[in-house]
Amino acid sequence: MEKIRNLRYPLFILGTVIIYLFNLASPYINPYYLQIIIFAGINIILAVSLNVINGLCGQFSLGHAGFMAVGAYFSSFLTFYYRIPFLLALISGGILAGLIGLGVGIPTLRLRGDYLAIATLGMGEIIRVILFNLDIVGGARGFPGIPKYTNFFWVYFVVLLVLISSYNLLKSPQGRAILSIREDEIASEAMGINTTRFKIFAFIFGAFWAGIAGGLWAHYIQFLHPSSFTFMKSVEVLVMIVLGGLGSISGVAISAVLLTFLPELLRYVKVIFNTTVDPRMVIYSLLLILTMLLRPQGLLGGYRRKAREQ
Amino acid sequence: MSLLRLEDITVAFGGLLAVSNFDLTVEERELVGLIGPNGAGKTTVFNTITGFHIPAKGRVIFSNIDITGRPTYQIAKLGISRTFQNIRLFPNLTVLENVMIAAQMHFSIPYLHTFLRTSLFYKVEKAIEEKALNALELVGLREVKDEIAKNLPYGDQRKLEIARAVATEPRLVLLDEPAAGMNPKETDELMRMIKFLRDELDLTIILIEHDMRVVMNICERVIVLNYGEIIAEGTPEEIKTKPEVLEAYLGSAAVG
Repeated sequence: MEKIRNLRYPLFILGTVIIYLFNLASPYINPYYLQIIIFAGINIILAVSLNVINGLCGQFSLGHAGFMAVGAYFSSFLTFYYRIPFLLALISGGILAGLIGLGVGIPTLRLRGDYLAIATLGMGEIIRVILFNLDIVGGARGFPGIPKYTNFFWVYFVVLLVLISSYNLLKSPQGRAILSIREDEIASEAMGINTTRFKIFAFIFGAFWAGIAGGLWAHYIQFLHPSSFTFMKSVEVLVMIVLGGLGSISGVAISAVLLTFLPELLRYVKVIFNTTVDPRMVIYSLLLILTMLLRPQGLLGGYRRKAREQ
Repeated sequence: MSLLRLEDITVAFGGLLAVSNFDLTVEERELVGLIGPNGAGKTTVFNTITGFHIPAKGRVIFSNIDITGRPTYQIAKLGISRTFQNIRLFPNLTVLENVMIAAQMHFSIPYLHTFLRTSLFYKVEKAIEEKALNALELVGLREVKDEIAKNLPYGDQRKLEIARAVATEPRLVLLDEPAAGMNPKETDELMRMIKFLRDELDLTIILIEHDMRVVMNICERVIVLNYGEIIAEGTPEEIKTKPEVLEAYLGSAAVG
């Protein structure tokens, strides 16, 4: 551990350089594969950030698609109309999403469990309906012509940042405070932890990265429509974190990659068996059910616990 | 000057008066026992002191500060720490992490240092860990620091709660049935531990306990509650012979 600590900055630079080198190779990759790889990266950002809210802090949020939409639309608005540099637009989208997280968090975070889930779901729907009626970003017609700025480098650089920041948060006084809220909110208060403050922080942290992910996504597919940010999108991310193991950063990241690749790989089932119907989504759903039956704690959930017990 | 003063506290749940017109003064370094039959309002008193319940009437004064109605976490920071009757650990975290969460109360590290992992961050983190380890040493759980809290035996879980309460460096500790579920040997150990906290760490302690051996052996003053009111108060010897106490515990027939 001591060695890693001393090398933390060089390792970060090394990671960035490796991502940059891969980026140089990206034009030679089959564009279909590259697109899946990029979507996998964006899903990692979404899942790891939702994991901070749901997995670490234990607050059941279903509003992730809403935060993603805010970041996507706001950053695209900035680059499309004002030609703002991409990085600045991305960060602005993240910050606006974070601010909305703050605004939503203050009144709703006193709710617990299912009640909070419904409130955040409502928040996501409100954002979507507002976008649907906002003419400046295309409203129901959609928002075309967004410049294509997102590439392999930006996506995976952000993946690196979200992984490092979540891990650094987890292993810190603030992270323990957040975990203690999940474990027992009453005991947490009694230990001098301002639980409201940390819940709101977790919410803002998650919303910020979701906003960034939205910005990356928008500048890759170059077209936005409110129907991309329905509550199903939030559920998709929720499935990733539950399958990966709530609270496990590595598990959640791996499951985000798996669940991005799996539906694509299952396309070959139809080809192999030469059927007229496509059983892709049936198999996908069955695999989810099986995983939950066989590993209810998720792929890597409880991993750390087991390792320590032995 | 007294450390804690409850003045005319009344706590009501709907129409039920859980505690009524309750007065209590606790001096620095006192070891006070709070006893009474089930439902007498003992835990409600603790919950009122720590801000979980807001009294309908009355004031809670802690070292000359009126803390009535303040949020729980602020009261904890002023120096009141507690354990819970039905153990409330952080079950999926390690023993060390449980205590570190308490030990970090008086430390603050800006988020920027956390995210950038500066040398200040490591310094603070190490100081928190050391403080937590000291608290674990005190209750004899240092060897199991990497165990998951929920896997500890029951008696050790109670000890862990005490370690967590002490790690916040409180001035007043409220122990809610610390001996519940302990065997006689563990109880002896617990009594030594509580005495040590008072004698060596200069803590003021109020404890709720049903195990009369603990109350009679270590408390200097005992307060008996029934139906939310104080029915007797005095040294353990005085309490033992009071007819009101016997009646509350055994019914009026036993007193004759």
